[in-house]
Amino acid sequence: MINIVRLFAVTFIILLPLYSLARVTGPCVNCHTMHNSQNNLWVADSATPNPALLVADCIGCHTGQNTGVNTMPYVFSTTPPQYGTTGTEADTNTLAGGNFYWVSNVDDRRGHNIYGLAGPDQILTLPPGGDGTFSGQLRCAGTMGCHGDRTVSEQISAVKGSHHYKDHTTWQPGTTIAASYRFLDGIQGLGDTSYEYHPTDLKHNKYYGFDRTAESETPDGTISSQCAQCHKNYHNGASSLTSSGTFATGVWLRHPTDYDMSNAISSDEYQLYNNSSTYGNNIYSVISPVATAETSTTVNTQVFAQANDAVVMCLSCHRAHGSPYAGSMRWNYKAWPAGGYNGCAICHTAKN
Amino acid sequence: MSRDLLVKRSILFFLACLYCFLSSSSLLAGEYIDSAHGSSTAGVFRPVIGDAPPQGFGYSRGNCAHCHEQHASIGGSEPVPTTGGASSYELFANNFDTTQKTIPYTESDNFCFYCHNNPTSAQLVVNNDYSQNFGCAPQGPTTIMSAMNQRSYHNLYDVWNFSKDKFSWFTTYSNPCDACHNPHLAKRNWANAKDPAYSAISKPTDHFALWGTTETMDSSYNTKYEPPYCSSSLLNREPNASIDAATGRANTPDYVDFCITCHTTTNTIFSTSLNRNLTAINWDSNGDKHGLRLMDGSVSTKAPYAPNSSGTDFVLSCLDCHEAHGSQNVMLMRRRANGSDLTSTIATFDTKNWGLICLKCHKDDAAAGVGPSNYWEYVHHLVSDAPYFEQGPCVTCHTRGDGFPIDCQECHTHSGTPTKADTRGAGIGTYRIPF
Repeated sequence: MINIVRLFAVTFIILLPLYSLARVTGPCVNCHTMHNSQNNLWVADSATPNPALLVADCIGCHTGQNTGVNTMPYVFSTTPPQYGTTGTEADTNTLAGGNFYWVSNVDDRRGHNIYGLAGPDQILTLPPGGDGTFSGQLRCAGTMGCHGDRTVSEQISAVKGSHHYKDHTTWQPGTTIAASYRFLDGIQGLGDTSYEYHPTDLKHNKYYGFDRTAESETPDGTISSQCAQCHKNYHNGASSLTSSGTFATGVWLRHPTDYDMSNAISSDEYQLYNNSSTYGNNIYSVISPVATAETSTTVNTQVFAQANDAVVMCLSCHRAHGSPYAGSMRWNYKAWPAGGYNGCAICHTAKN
Repeated sequence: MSRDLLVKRSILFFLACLYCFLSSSSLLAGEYIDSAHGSSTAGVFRPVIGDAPPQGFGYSRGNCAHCHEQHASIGGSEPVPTTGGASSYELFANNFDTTQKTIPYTESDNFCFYCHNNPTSAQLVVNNDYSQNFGCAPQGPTTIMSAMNQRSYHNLYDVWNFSKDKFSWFTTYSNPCDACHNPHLAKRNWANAKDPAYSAISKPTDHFALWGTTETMDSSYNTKYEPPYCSSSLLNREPNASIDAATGRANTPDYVDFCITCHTTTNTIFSTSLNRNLTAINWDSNGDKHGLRLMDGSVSTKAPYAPNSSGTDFVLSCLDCHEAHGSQNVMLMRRRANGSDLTSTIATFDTKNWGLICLKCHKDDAAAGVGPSNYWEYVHHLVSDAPYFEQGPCVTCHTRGDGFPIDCQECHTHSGTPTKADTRGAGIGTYRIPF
């Protein structure tokens, strides 16, 4: 009996740090202020208190430079981040979504021009590929944003409380805001606990994807379906993706997403994903990652290892927040082949 | 550590570094960027895509975006040429208009013509015809589209119609040019006309590999293939004035095996242009004498086909006589062959002008010293083993009764199943294969 108690105690002690990593930790004052006043000075970022008694809004909290030690993911840096060639190299300090620095400081093409970080897009008045229903400048969360409850207009209210209930150690089923991948309402996935700071094939986000058979399908919970909320025609819709409407019977009109590459192995082009010499158990690429329909907490370190684990997604090519490259691409596609980098060849192995 | 050991380890370290460098370098180069379209110095370049901002988007030459728009737009709108909605294979325009069954072709009929045309909406690419580029002919048509918009041409609709049912990779949305070319592999053979490693062709049965890089007329036929003369001096050979016969045959892709992928004795290929099925081609030993069939008498050839140390039986390459894309002559006959230009066009099927290309390799009466050019009494009646040595009633063959030459094609044509002609030697039938 004593041994069983000891076993439980040891197990608890081992698991405790993991559990602590899973959600917001530390003193309340790190994030909240009761009166927005300390020594007769503001505590928040202005004299006007923030909702939820927060000391800062989304941008205020998530601005900084990632070091690999910080538990707060920094998505915006005020000085040029280290991105490298693909944002995955050992000397980089950006995360999975990239960084808003470039869209804020260089031009509109290098990321999502979030209100507060960049001015309204001077080129795109509406989201490209959209159905015209979304207009206005993008925000981090809420009805005009990507994160949180997209029926709530005020963005802090849209994510209110969810940070307290986030558990990174479990598969995010998308049932609540807190249980959604990166607070993207309804989106499934498994987030890397360091947000892909120096990702490897063994340590990275696990994106949820679905192998569709028709262009009209709108799968719930996939990471690409999130993008499709604004960029609809790039993901689904009649005559948007294929010449026939049905996958595998026509040819692509636009680059597919939520489509498993194992369906397209008539040539060896995709079989050799990530420079593999053989088909099956190809090593996962953090440069041009793929989503999977498998929903366990085991990170997908290999591709073509099981059914529907090679699902093309928007994030196979793009960074959600921003990158140094046009189109918020993960690599400098525009400069290739004279320079730049051909991340396309991770999948399109014959196009190198 | 001894000095010797230090040296050895330094060498090993250097070799290891060299291996890593070369290995990584090999990963950077690929089939596409080695291709004509993927070259960063000579590859595809749609100005609106490649020009520096604000006129363009600033993409590198050779980038996929010059042809493919992954989202049927770039930067939220459709760059020129604006052709409407999303197109198959994410191309910037319709791949092929299947309603365009005959010439004249226009730019919008075929995606490739947006560049292989002049003037263009995208990138002007100069492509001279085979006669010029490989056969030393003077300037002819300068683009693929203009070559095709001539008297005869490889009918694109027919190619498409045949290929879609024949080759598994070829879809109803495919471009007929792809039947012979893989745009992601094809190299600039015209700029390297003496080097088959720069092949521009892929067999439709092996679309994902180049053809002719090692499969040459030399490797297939060796001295059975005699490259035609190229320059008018008759001092060099095709392709592109190769220095000698050995070099020429080594520089020529095996076009025979390439062309007979489709033009076999078993494939039925309907020609919209001719309104009939194409004649079957049989290049085997039981087929045409221009192929592997042995001679059955003298054929009065000119150099370099005159009897020589290699024997008297030769195999021709299809492109020794035919253009690939189009010609001012019927049946895609070249405008120059074996070192000299045709003196006139072969404008119709029923014309004695067929002889103008025959005489490039066979002795007409002028070459035999017995009469005028493009007259053929010598080979038919005067040579020692003439098929019609015995002078019979002229009107049996010369139905016009005027003694003038018969149009060559009345007796001499390709045939999948050649039959012997009822020729008459010295009192007996000789029954020769006429082609």
